[in-house]
Amino acid sequence: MLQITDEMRKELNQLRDTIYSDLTALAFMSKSGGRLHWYYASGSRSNRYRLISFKIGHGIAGMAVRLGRTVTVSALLSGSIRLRQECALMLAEQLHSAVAIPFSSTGDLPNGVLLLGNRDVRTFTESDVAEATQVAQRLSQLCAYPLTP
Amino acid sequence: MNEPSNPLLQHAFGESTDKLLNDLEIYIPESPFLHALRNSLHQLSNLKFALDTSSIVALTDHRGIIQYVNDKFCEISQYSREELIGQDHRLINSGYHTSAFMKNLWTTIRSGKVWQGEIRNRAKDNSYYWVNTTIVPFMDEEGEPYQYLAIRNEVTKLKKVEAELQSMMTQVMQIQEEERKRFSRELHDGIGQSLFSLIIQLDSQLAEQPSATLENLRSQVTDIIKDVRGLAWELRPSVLDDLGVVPAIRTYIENFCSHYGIEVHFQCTLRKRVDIRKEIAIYRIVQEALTNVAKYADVAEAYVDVEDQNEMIQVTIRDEGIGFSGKSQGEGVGLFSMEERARGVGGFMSITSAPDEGTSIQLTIPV
Repeated sequence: MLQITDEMRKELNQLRDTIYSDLTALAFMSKSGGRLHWYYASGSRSNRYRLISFKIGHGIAGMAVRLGRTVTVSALLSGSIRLRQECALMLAEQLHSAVAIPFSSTGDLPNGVLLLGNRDVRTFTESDVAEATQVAQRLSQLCAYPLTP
Repeated sequence: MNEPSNPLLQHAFGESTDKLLNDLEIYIPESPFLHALRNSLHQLSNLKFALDTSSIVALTDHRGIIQYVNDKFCEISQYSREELIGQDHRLINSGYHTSAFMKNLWTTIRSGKVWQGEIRNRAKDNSYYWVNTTIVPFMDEEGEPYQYLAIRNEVTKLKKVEAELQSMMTQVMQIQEEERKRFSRELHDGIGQSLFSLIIQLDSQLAEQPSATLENLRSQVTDIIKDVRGLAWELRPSVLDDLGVVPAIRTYIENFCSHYGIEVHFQCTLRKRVDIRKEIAIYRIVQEALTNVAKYADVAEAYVDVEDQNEMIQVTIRDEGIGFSGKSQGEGVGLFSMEERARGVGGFMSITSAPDEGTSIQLTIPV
């Protein structure tokens, strides 16, 4: 189990403010090959996210982890709707636009993902994504230490 | 019986128009009135001609006794005009429609309202034909109907295609199920078993000579086995065939909860196995309905009830979410395929929903 620290919360809350998104969330895979769980969501409407887990390759966040690169869902991107419908967090939080940025706490294959989401149709600019990527980088380090087998 | 109730009906349907047109000048002196009358009669005659060529027309008195039929009626029903006049429509009744259906028809037209619908009739050679029917009642001064005009168009072909489409849908879904089952078995027993034998070989290697690389390989293979099993389960849970619909739904709900974070309250009084086709239909409908709940309802809870009512199984999938109005149905085929599935096993499905009042799906399957 990953322990969410105040520092991680602060990173996510701050990022949400800086890029004006409705929600920022962190999912992590505690055990290799297992499922990813949402550990913290800043700006969430309910605590449902805590119950949600997903497999690699499923939904926007699962796809980002599988591909090892940033994945975007937007009403303006045809074909991305499926990634939204497969993502239980996007459904539960009624998000319509999102960007998922994968990270790795081990330096190996990705085992975590940072999600930025909005409840309306918006585009995340390059600088938004760059900002978030830096946060993902810091989160990967924060996740690396408390990782227990 | 052959005596018409109203002597006017003898010529009721413009039979005499042509004769009237010919005799017009004899009775009425040349005047603008005559001109207008001739025009009007002419138009009426044209209209009747057009109607007769396009549709099946019958006129009955208030009791439903046939007073007039056009050629098309005789052609399609294969009865001669003499055989039809003076009879009522029971002569061509195919016995297909329920008495409630016929009662509704009569109540509608007796109260002066137009009735529209599709009726299956029987021709003289006992073959069936479908007609799209409009019955217009004509009312007297007291507000009682004194005659009914029935205009019909044959839609037998349409009905046949409709039925074919239905059976095709059922077949396609059956084939889809079979394919899923085959793939699921293949994944589980084929690839799954091969991977498992790989694990055994790795284990024996590891027993002889412990190695971190081999350990790592082993754990990767274990992950792949998990994925393959998961995929096989998603395609078609073997528990459905082995233990029945209730354990299958239970497992589905468990996975559903951890996937969507929606708590599902499951109640069940079904303790027996039923026909596998019905079990599949129930399982797939519950699955589809819950997926819809997750996608659209915006709720944290949902309810599934499976009730054994001896001759029927009643399944309800309910949420208290945002609901939808009849018009705003999406582009998906979900609801349509659920209805088809229910129909395919002789069951019936209905949906009640209103904005902000949640959605409830009721499924009744006879056993």
